[in-house]
Amino acid sequence: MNNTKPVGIDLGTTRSAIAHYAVDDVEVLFNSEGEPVTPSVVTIDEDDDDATAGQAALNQAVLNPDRTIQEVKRKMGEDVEVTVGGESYKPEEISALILQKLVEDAKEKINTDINEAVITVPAYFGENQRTATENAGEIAGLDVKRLLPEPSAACLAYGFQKGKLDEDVSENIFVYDLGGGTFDASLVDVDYELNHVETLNTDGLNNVGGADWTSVIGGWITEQVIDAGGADPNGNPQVQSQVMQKAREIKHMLSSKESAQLAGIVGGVGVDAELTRDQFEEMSAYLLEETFETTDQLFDRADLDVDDVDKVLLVGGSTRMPQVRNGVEEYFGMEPSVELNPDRAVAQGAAIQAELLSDRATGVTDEIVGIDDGLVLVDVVPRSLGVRLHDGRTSHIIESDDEIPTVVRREDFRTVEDNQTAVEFPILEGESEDADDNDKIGDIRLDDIPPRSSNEDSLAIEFELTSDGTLQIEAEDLKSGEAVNATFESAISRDEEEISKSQAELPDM
Amino acid sequence: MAPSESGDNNTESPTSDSSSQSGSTPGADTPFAPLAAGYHTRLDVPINAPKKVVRKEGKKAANTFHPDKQTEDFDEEIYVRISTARETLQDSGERDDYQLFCLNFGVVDGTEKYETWKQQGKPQSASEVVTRELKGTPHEYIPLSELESHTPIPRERDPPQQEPSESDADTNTPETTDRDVSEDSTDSNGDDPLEQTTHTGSGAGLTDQMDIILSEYTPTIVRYSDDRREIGLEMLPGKYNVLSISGWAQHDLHFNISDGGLTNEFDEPVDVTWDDLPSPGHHRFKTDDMELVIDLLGEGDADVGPNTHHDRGGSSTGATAPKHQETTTPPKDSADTSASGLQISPMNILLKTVAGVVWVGVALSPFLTTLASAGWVALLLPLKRTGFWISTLFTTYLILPLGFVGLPHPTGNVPLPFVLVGVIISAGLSFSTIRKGLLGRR
Repeated sequence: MNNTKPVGIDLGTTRSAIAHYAVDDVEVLFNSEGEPVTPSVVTIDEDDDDATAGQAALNQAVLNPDRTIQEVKRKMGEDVEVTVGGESYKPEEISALILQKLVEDAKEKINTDINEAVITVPAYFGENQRTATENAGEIAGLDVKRLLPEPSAACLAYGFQKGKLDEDVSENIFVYDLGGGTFDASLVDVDYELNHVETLNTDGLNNVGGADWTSVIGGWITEQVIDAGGADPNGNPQVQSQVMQKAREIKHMLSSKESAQLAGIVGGVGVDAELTRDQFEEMSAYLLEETFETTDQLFDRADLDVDDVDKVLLVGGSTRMPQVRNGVEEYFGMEPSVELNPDRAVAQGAAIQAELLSDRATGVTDEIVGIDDGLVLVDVVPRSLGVRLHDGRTSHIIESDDEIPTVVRREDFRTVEDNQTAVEFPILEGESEDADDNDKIGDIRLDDIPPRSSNEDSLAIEFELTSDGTLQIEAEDLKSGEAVNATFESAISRDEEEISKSQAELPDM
Repeated sequence: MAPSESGDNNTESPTSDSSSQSGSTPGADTPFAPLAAGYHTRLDVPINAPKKVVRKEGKKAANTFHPDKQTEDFDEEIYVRISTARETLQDSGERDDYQLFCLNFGVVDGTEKYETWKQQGKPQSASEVVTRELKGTPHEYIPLSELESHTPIPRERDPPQQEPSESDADTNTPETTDRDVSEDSTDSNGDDPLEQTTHTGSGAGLTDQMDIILSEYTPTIVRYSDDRREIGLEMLPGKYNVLSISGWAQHDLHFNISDGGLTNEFDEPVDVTWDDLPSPGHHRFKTDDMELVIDLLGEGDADVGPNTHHDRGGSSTGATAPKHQETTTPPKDSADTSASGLQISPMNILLKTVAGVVWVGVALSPFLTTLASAGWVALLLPLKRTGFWISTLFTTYLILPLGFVGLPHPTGNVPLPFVLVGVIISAGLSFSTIRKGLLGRR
């Protein structure tokens, strides 16, 4: 393996995929089981020495639920740990194991080293979640060149697949991205003439995804088990895992059939019940409604209206549900495009972006067919960034939907006390005026402030969000014009030493 | 700390900016100017460009300067300057606020004040801030929606550079006799885009529409109202001077020419002020480093635009136009007004003398009206002959100047010497009339 190849990785809540740019095409790399997508599931053995990821781990979920970790993406960026046996793991460490599985299988497939990657994240992922995802890539031994929003990746793949790049066509595309654990709504302007893909507005839900539809069916199965005289499966992880596996099977079945049969032994009791698609859609209608409320919010602040949308792209495996397709069609008054493979498109788009960024580094820009003159992806800040004020309010500095990269400076800050020479305050992410409702992503401390009255605005704070997503914060004393010593400490970012420690302590794959 | 948006001010270090825009700098061969102060110049769009045009040009600019298309040591602030311009000009409300600042303070200072206002969290509305800073009533402002209803000013980019022969220049360029033409100019760089000239305008005299465009740059004059206009012009840093021209009032045309702090060409703004409304025709400003020539349209010149030139490093030689100046058909009245309002010619002397008389007539009209009324009253009395002379002569004096009022003076505003001549002639006529019409008969 002498060569290296940049890859694009769709690190999903329930399933993941990896792709690379081959000759004239973007190829999704099948895993060692011969599948294009890999379950985002990890099992750690009894000795805590070895880990298994993918389908093999999913197969262990029923038999060994205590040692199986699923949907860890939903915990990314949170200050929590996943405990397996006696060991605790951070969510990004579990995600790193999934990435390792993807990369190792891909290396075998293309017989090439892989050490650079573009990893996709939900567009609505916040700073902590993005940082955790980047940490996961680094723990997995990857140089993460970019965290790419999933809707942007899908649009890129769509343009490439349609061969439209460089054509004199421009479209306003709405991307309805319903993944396993998250929902993203994005309005994207794709100008094929200029090879310009620009996210105009984005919104989303980090707690609504296909897994929630599965849970609805899981609840129905639980009722059937209890009605049949069985114990509540929620008290038994093994039975609960069995219930969820049955629920997934029924959900998939209802995507193609009008009804599905639950028959067999669940939780030690025999059950035999039928769930129709209509029943399922009625039970889960509130979830679909939540996605449309989010879409409404997006259009409330967008310059464009629903009528301005030229095409609706469905992304994410959960958009296979007829309920979703019909709902989207009704909302937009047009049939959504089904030209993309919802499971693979995101990884394909990431692979194109990885190749472009690799070209940028090597100076070779004519490798990708249809993108001879390069391609530009313009993304926006998903959630506003600001600082917590003394009275508990949030002063937003970078607003949501601001373009990335961006530099925003505010000059209306002052000290609380006269002659105060230092101040420390949290950096927040979120739209609420109330600081407590927003997420803290770090702290900043300003030192060596020259003494002055607290009655006048005398401090400037500048946020710079670079194209690779790094947030830099600086401050200035407006009275003297001198920079103030500002130290920003991310709530979740990890230094090289911590990354190395995680790498050393993780179980072997 | 990355420099703030207000870093375009005139005190900014010129070296770094000019160097970063030149040579192999990304986008050097494009019309976009990310280091320019004005947002319109950064995106190379007219000030009254429709949103659709702003969006398209903005995307092109973003494509040119996006970090993903640059080397990894690219200064992302350059892209941020483009995206700042895009976000502002694509948002109708923000664009209105921004243009209000530029209208009242000029492009460079207006941009800086607008950005400072934003950085301070917009504590007051834009109009309140402008009023406070001006310590007076801000210029009348026409919202963007009305500006957009105008047809965008046509622009001509990279026209064929046809180098005129010396004889052509002699024949076609009114500036050949301009006394302001520098004799030391040897600059004949045919690639200098400053020479490119495009112009449209609807002819209704100077109090109506007047558009002057310098290609490659922001259009220079936009009509906001009947008596006020904004002139904004910037030149590409590095390749040329960055320059803004701003401010306009009907009888006080004030050009503020500055380099925006981005080049070494101008350390201080150069102010050129006309006290009166300038006449149509050719107007030239010179400094040691630059020459600016602007033609102003007069009535009936709608179809043929005048020249607008920028020359750097000197100007034309003697009686010939600079070789690199594009020559177009001059305005039809440019023969009389080719130099400026101060050009002296026999026709000018005659016209200005007549105008002086008219000026005095207008000035005396309240007095004359009173006398004429008295004459008509006299007709009702037994003094019929006296009343006839009074009414006839003074009504003539009343009607004559009123007949001129409202007509555009072909020579523009009348200078003081000609007014004095008019006063003397009017006084003589008045004395003669009074003596013959009243005193003589007695």
